[in-house]
Amino acid sequence: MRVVHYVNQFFAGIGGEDQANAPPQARPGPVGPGVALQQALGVDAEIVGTVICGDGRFADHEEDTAPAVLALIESFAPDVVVAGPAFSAGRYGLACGRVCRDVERLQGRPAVTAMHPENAAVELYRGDVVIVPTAAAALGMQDAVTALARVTLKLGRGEALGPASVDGYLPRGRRLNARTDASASARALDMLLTRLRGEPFTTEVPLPRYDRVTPPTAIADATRMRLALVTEAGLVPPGNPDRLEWVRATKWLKYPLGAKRDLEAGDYEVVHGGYDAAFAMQDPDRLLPLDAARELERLGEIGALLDDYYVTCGNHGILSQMATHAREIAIDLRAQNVDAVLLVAT
Amino acid sequence: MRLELASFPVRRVVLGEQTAWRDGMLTLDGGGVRRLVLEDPRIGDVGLEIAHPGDGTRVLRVLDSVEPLHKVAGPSCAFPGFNGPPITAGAGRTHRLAGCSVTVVTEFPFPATGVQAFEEGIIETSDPGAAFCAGADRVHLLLVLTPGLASTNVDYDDAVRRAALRVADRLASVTAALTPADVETFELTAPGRALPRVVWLHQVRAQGPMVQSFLYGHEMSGMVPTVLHPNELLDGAIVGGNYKTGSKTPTYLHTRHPSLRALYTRHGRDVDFAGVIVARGHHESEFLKQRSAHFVAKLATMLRADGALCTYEATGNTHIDFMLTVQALEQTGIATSSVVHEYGGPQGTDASLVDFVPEARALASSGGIDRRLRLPAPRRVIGGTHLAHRGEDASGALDLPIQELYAATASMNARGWRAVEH
Amino acid sequence: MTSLASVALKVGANRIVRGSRFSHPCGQPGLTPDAERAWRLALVRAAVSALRTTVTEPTLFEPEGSPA
Repeated sequence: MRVVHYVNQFFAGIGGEDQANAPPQARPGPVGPGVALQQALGVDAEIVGTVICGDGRFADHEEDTAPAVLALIESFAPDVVVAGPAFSAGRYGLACGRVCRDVERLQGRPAVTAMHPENAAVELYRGDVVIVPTAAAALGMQDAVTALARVTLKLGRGEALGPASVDGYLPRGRRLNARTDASASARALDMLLTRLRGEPFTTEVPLPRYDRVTPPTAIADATRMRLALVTEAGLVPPGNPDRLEWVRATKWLKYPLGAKRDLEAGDYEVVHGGYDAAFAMQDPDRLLPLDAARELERLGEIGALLDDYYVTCGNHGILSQMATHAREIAIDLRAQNVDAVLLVAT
Repeated sequence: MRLELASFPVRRVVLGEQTAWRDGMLTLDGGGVRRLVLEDPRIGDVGLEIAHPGDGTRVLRVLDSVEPLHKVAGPSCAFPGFNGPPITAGAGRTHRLAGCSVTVVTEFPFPATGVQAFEEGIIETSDPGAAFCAGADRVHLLLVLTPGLASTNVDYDDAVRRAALRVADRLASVTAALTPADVETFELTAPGRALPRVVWLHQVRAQGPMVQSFLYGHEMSGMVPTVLHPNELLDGAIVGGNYKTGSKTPTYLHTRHPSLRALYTRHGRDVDFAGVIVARGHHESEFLKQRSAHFVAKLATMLRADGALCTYEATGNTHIDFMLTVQALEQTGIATSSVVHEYGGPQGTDASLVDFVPEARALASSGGIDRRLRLPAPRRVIGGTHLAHRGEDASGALDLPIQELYAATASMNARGWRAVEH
Repeated sequence: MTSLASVALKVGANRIVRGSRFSHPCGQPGLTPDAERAWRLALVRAAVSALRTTVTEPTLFEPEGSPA
């Protein structure tokens, strides 16, 4: 197994901050921490080359430097690439993250780095890169190199990594299914009894955190506001002409309201597997309140209503897919100078 | 309340002259089963098919799946309220055909929209689908039904359910005079020492017609939470009529729920099983969800529970009912631990939960339900030639999210699936 | 506009108006047609008023006359 190791100018022994502008360069065999890494890797893997770059050089000229580093790595034709360990060094960590990501994405080779979990690069690269956690300082080198070697060998053999907690890397934000010996109910009961004994327990499902969006400024003058109606209720013309899916929708649609003042029963149907549509079918204004919006328009309480309404189906929506729909709808609304949206959610 | 549950394991089902059980083999009198089904004119016709684990069968349009139970001694019947009066079940002696299911395959006669629209239930008897879908580890008598003189979908649904329960009782009754291989006794005897008292919160889906659960023969959609003895469930007090099939609990899992089994296994050892609280999900507003949540917390308090093992059927907005209930229990001082299935998208990179409360600190995962599976072409297909919704040819390979397999969420709990960080 | 406001608050929607039921957020089938239309007008007015209100975090607006 051919291994290439990426290190910074400091660990390569070129120098400290005064040498931070050292350009990308390559040397055969292990250098600096590579010696200990080679020892940990054993006889099945050989560090065939070391690629070195100054942290300042990488940070200040990342877009030029990364391809140069990559070309040097590629010249050794590695089976797997190791970068670091960077511990808590910020610029070094960022360089290791970038190198590993590019090696995987652009060269299709496996790569692994190691650093302290609070290194700033972790937040940026953990989704894309295998990062082995280390201590904050180089005092933890031996442990770091041992852990790195284990993951390196597995990746170099072309094996898929197991769970983060088993194979010893920072979770990449992917949750994959695995089978255990006990039903989820039995595991939940174990957890409950542990709780009731007052002992520490670990949830299997960390609670999600959602993004916060800065609220847009309030509408100063509603009488000049252009308002659009949007819904995930699956309200479409009869026959569902554009084949909106009733579950896990992959599209959003817009349909003209024209001169309609009111949505009539029979002019619409509901494509949504999550709720009983009987009441909405009697009067679709119960989903999309066109009659009320038109009345406010007539009374001059709002400026104008957009001619089209937007619709998708939220039933079992895949979150990332729904976020894409939302972005696309927002861009479309912007292009029509819409000031505000009334979004009805079932 | 003491229940003796006698198990007659079924490893093979064959059609023959006379219905009989012997050494793991169930022989069926096909004509007799057909006559029993067709007693109800709302059913037009019935075909009988048999499927075994690992036999490469793909079954489409699966509704309920029922483990045959027959009451041999005791005041009630099995599946009380359907197969007899709604007298409290859970006492006496019940015979079961273990590992066998009477499984209904049909489509509804009238078109429907929204939540009442027909949803596909697919059983794959071979891997990789078998590892996730319910029923894959069971021997099935499949009743492939054609609608008869039913006036509405709800009317036909009632006929279908009663047919399955009638057949289930009849099949198990052939063991009445036989000696079982195994008898388990279920009783909530008071433990000799103080053990943590734990209730099971069993939140079911009862949203309305076609997304319904039945308690003693009556729909649960209007009810406030109530208390059951676990033995009542073992006797079939709850029957599943939720046809959001990916996330349904089939009747055989109401009677053999992993929560009930886990609690009974440890009762008297390190748990004092305090009873089952049954609640419904999918309440129409937050007000109603809150109201139900606090009823659960109150009942748990009256049962002097220290902790609650919480599970729920189905997915989507029923998470809100469930999480509010977890919150109400915790606020009352009752510790909870819950089973949740996860979303997360095909790659497992999206948020896992539809809803949560900060009090939901102890969660066991039953796996991600929207990861995708590639299913190879099956050896045979029962229940149609094309998938009901997707319209795809069912004889070929399929690529679909796990949750489109039959009762996948409930089954993944029972099989020990979980999601882990990668 | 949703009947399930707690979820909207949790996921971070900034201006939330409580609707009636998840299967008909802008309807009250139990009312007479005139009363239902009047209620819906008030509901949409509440939404307009929410749009005119400065908020700094997810905020729930409870319109008058909405059912429990």
